[in-house]
Amino acid sequence: MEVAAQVAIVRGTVTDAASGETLPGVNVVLLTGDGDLVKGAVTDESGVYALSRIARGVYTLRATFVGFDAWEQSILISSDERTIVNIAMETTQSELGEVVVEGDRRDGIVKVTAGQTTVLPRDIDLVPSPDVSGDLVNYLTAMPGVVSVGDRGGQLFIRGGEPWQNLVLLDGMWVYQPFHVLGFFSAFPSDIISSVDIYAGGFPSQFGGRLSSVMDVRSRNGNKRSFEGSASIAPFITGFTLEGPIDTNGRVSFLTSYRESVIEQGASRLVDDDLPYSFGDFYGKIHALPSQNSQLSISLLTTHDEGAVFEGTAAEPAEEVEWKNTAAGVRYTVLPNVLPAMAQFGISVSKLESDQSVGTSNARSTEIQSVNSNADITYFNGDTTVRWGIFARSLRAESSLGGLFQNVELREEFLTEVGAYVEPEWEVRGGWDIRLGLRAHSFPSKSVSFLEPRLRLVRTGLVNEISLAAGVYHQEIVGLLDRRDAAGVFTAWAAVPDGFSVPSSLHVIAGYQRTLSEALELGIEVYGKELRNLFIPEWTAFPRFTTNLQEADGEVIGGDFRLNYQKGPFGVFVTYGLSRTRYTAQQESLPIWFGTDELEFRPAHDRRHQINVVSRLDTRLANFSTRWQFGSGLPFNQAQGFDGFVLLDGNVDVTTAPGSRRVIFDEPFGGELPTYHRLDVSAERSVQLTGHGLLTLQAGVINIYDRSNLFFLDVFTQNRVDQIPIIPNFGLKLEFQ
Amino acid sequence: MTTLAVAVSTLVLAAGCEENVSPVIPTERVFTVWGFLDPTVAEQKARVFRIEPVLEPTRPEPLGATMSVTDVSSGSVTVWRDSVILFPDGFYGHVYLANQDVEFDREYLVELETPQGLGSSARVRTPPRTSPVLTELQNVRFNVKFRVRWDNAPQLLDLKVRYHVAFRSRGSSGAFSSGAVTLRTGVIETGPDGTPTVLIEPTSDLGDILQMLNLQAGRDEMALDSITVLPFVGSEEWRSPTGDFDPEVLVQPGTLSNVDNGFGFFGSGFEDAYVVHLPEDAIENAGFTVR
Repeated sequence: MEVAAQVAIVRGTVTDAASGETLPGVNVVLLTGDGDLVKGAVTDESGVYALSRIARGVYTLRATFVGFDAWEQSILISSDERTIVNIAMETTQSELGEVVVEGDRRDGIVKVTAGQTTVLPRDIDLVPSPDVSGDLVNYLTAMPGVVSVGDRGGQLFIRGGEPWQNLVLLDGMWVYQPFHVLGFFSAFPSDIISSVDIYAGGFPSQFGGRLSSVMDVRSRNGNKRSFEGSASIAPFITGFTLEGPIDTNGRVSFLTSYRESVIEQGASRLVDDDLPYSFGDFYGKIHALPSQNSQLSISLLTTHDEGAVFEGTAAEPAEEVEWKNTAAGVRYTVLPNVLPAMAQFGISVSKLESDQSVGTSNARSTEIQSVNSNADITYFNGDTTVRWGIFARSLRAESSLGGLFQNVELREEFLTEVGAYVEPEWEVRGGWDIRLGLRAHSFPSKSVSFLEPRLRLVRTGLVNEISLAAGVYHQEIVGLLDRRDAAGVFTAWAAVPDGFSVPSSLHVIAGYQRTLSEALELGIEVYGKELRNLFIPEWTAFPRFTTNLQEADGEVIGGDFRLNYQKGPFGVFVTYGLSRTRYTAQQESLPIWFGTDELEFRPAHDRRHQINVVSRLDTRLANFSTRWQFGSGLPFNQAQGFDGFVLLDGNVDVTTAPGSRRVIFDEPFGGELPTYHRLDVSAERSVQLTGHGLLTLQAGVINIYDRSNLFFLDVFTQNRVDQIPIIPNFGLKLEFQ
Repeated sequence: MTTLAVAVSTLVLAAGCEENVSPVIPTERVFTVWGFLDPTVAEQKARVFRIEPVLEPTRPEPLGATMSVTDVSSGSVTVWRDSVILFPDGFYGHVYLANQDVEFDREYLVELETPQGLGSSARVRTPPRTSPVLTELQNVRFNVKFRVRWDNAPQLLDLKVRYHVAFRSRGSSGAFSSGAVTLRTGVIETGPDGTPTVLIEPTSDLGDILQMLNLQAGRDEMALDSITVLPFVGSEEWRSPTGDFDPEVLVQPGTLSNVDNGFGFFGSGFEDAYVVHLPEDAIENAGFTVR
């Protein structure tokens, strides 16, 4: 009887009673009649909780979440029972501007567990941005270990990894190039975000196919009770959101968001400078609750970007880029009545089309399209949770590179990937939580398979937390790019070229968090990444951006330091990232050129020091926020000068042989660009309008002390392109309900 | 907040609002020169580049350099003159020219100097006169090959072979037409004592000769009059570190360079010639017609 009673389970979904939105991160506990804790859980990204291995009896089920009234209900558990209790939480009726102090937040800059950070919209909105609504990318660049090449280009390097090594998911859909050409914006405005899990490394078995990091973005659901919307305008971008119920039973809702840049009409005029960028995005989602124990969502994302990364000079043509993302997907989540488990099924289609033109010719293009399907099962059994799943992916990649990589023949390629993973998680004595995973995946057409062990250990105490993570990763679909300077944007997607090994990485992370006082938190994480079989352009003194690829290995070590202070209406967080990235390349000619078999160098994204200071002060007048960011200089190839090369291989007539121009490079990546720093400030005030309207006014200044931060330095012509100068911005957002 | 503001302001003031960066670090090297002294011709020439801080389109302005070549043993100095050439790719180039009698087996000092006295230089020793000698003839039906040893040559580069032939269509009773076909063929070998030898295989070259003359084997007649072996004799310093002349390797500055305070390569060499007359049975065995 006792054994049978141990398999009873209580599960359900927690929602906001006002909007019907599912709530992740809610604490759900089961208490005895005396108030003693029996079991506890936190709702996952779908708002689902599960409390298993419960003995029969009468209990109190209690749910608590910041901003909501505590929810309680008495429940009777019979033996071997699988009970579903859905919880609808009521919003706390507090005055506008009241500060809620929360003791057990799962988000926030300091809350980093084995490389994983959870970001909520309220975190994003802390960081000043040139729009009334926040954008995920501004928060990302405030994180230590995330290196951005600057205001333009839309490229992020995470803990030494290159942009093509980052996996970006939106509701399970792969998004290949999600960051807009202007660095303040991504495809993820905070208006559509429910939560984001960022794994800067050591990501669990559920994720794969990338070497460096995972950004798992989950959108919120539309309001199932009433219609809401907003419209905003600012010097860079304008947009609107609209959401509401589709049916009368409060079971189906929609959410749409549309944004379009207005730089030509706005920001360009403010700075009296041509900012040749244009971009936009559309997101739409339908969310439904078909039954008491299931959820269904359909999502669509489209983005478009175009602009001149390098505007050209008399000597060199402009470099223009253009890309479009399209992603559509369906997800179905169910809590089976007969099993103590949760299952999620998804299928999605993702596509990226990207072009680069240099002057009027030499156009390059790439297109990648994939169909991803997956089934993820979470099985609850007391202190053990087992996650397992299967996935299949078919992919088409096509590139036309115009001679960019001379030893790579790219064509239309079709690939299929299949695989499975299993990752049990145990809560053991001493407060340790252990996740041991194994991911197996195979590309049958290329006859390659990989086994990837993963490990995550977390020990949570009252005031501190220790975490460790490790894992092995492979990436068969790679991004090829000419990265002799960090400003390169165009990435050609392809299967690993014939004759090359599949890139792989090994991550090791150790972290420590401590709550120093009620107001002060500290987080430290150290990490190492070993990268194998990367592709880099061969070293050459020809002044060209067409070259051969070669293999290289990489090594990244670093540490992230985070400090968060929150007292009353004032909060500040400081992050410091220390990192060292080294690539080691072998090239046949190295012994002749440099007297060594290997060339060790700093890649163009090796930013050694990075500091962010973000503060916020809430007053009756307005909410003020500031952000100061600092980055030490990036390495670049410095030259000693330019001359010409004539191949003298015999009786050469130098009056008829034209020869070639040549760069006399100094030591590879031996130069260092100037430091980068900038201060942004913003003030925001919301005014309740009569009826159901809320008007938010924002004023701010980007780069308030007008620092000339270098974006692009053309070694050949000494032409310098700076990042965005001082720009005042004013935004207006009208919300209605 | 106040402390933060002060700290930020201090940092900003300390850092300044703009930092200059130069993508080019100064070098004292001045010129890059590509060329060689040829003791068999009167006019000498060399391509000269000024090492510039910016990669700009070339302009037809004077280079502002004085180039002189000194015969070290005699002390005789010849000053070369600058000329600007517009190449087909639209770039201008500076080629320095001089009518200078260059001796065999003699050391020369090549100097380039700016009006300010900055300069680059190279020393080169011209190769001695050579004494090629036919050392081996293999005369087998459809397998004829021979070797020529190039005594006194430091090394041979860029081998060419010129076949002097006469030909006519089969069945034609008319006279033979004469012609010469030059092929990049043959193998340069180095003997144990370092003396270079060339291996020529007329049997293997026959197909290429017929093709270049638009003749057909078995249908047309082609007689062989003589074979001229044309290697380029290079000076001792004219050695690629890899043994061949791959531009992707040699383009790296300093890889094949003997220029002090500059880059490039200035050697010495000449195109040599040795004429071989094969015996009639060897001509026939090689697949040619005997007149």
